[in-house]
Amino acid sequence: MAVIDHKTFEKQIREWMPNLYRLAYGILHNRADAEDAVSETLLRAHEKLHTLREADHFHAWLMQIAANEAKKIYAENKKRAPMENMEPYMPAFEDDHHELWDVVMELKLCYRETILLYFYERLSIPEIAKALRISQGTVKSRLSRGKKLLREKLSDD
Amino acid sequence: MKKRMDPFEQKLFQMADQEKMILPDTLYENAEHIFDHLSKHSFAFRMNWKRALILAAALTALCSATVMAAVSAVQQRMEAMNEQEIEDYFVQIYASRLGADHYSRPLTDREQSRMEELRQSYEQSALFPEKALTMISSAEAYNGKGIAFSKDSSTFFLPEQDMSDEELLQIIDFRRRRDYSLQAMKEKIDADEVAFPEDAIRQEAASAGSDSAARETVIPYTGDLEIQKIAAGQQDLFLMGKNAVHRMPAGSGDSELFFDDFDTDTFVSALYEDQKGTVYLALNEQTEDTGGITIAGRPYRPSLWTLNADGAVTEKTDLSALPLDGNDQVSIIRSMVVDEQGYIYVRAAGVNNALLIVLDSQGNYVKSITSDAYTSHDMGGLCVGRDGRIYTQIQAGSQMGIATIDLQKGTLDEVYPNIVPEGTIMLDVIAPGADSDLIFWGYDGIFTYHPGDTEADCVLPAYEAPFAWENAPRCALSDGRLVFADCTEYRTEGEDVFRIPEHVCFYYLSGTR
Repeated sequence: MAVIDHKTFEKQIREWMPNLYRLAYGILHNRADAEDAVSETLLRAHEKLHTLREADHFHAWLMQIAANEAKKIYAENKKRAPMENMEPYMPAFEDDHHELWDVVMELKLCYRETILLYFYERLSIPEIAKALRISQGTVKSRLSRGKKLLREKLSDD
Repeated sequence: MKKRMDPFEQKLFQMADQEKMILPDTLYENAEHIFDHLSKHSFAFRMNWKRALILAAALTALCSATVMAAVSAVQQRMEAMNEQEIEDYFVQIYASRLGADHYSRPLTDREQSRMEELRQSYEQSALFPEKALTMISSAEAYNGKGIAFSKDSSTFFLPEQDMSDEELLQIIDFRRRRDYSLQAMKEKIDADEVAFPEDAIRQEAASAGSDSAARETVIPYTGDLEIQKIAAGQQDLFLMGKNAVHRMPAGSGDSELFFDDFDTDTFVSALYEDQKGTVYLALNEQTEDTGGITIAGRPYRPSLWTLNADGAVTEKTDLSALPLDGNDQVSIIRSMVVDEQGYIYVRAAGVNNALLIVLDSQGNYVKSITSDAYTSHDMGGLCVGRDGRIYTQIQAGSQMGIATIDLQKGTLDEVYPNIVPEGTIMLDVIAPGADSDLIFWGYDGIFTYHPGDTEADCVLPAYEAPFAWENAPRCALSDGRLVFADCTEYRTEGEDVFRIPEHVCFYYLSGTR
């Protein structure tokens, strides 16, 4: 039996929607793909709700699914036929404070996804390891290298 | 005591907190739509939002008064579709496991620019094709002539030559009809005018699944080895884990211990079984000697062990001090084959360069195979062809090819460059194929090839792969089938996550369409 009911599931999804979209956008660099990834995440999470063991882990569990769905689309994009009429979108922010986002988006995917989950989602290193299916050591080294790159890029600006 | 956060890290957290992204309205609308659907239907509502967005964008663009007549003509054409046609398009979109269309080959520059011109003519001047796009049930049904669309794989099969205007218009018209159907059905379902066609979608999805099932076999692993690599023997599969090698008949789900008598902590990185049943193991043994290579901070020594058919060790060779050019050292052996004369060909990561070296049957260094024109990445494949020659992957920049080896000269012999699309990622597996001279696997797909042909034939592109194969251990059986050990879950202990497969399925892919 699921640890949260469907009403709570929907409520929580609505609350985490900005985070889901931000993570998906960060991985995919594209609004339409990010929206697809969020939709797929909702469906996948609904299907797998019975596997959630602790309600407190919902955020990390949801982000794991979102990262996975976004990366599936990312992999598919590598071989996809060009979609006509598909304009690249830039995300909009409430104000001009998005310097970190801009430099994170310049990083390679492996650093980008780790930085997004750590600094934006505030997941722990074990949670990131589980979400990305990599060892904790790899998370630590990606964070370390990612921070070094961010330091260089931010000091350039 | 809690570790203090460094100031830069603290600054990054603060910056991340301050950044407030504005979400598109459609995001919440889509979510509410999904919630609403989930409350009414058991079937997962997999709307392709991308197509809906594209359609919305296209319709918005069509508001100029000068094109209204054409818009009307397009609209009439769409509205002339009967309910069954609209539902068929809708079902096809939902049953497809792919979120986008694909072409069987890249569009040429001329086709791309002409497609855009014709799309404008279609929308603004009501230029329509004379015939409808041919639909085929599977890739095998494509006869190489004209264009056709396989709904199972969402792929447009294109002729070798540039498409004509009529053919391009057929693609444009097909997409327009499908997008219209998607929108029309969505509106009708939302308004409860028609029911969501669950049964039709289930049948369509099952039909698509049965087609791919014929080309592949999936066997769940029930053994207890923590599989890190797999290799094909003459008849069996060998499964390699830390400090152990298992043997398993092809097609079985259970394995038996073949060898685990290692002196220290050992990783088996490659394995080859020759026709006499002799097994060659490429190892990295943990050592006390700190002068060699290190893996995860610990010193390891590369070695080559030879075992007889009963699994008894007959030879042990230390490969840490081979007389390589530039004082290079073998780090990890990636692949290994043995020719009829007993020479052992090895592709390995060196400390400085990727290596392609030859050893004699006792493990003594014979020579390195080098080329001025081509490089050999250590991940590239290596095999004994049906003609007895050794084939290996070569590359020049982002162009991949294969070559045979001239052992006497220590060079590449016959070179077949640039035989897969430029940018194809590494041909990790090369082997004799089932109905082709050779079969390759690279991240981008499975290819078959006859030496001398200008290009290899892609028989299974990555987007049609039944699982994520990028990191799956893989090998080729002697009958030309490719085997992948797909891990669906990794082992966890407490909060630690290891790169150790918890649930493994063996996928056998035939390499034929």
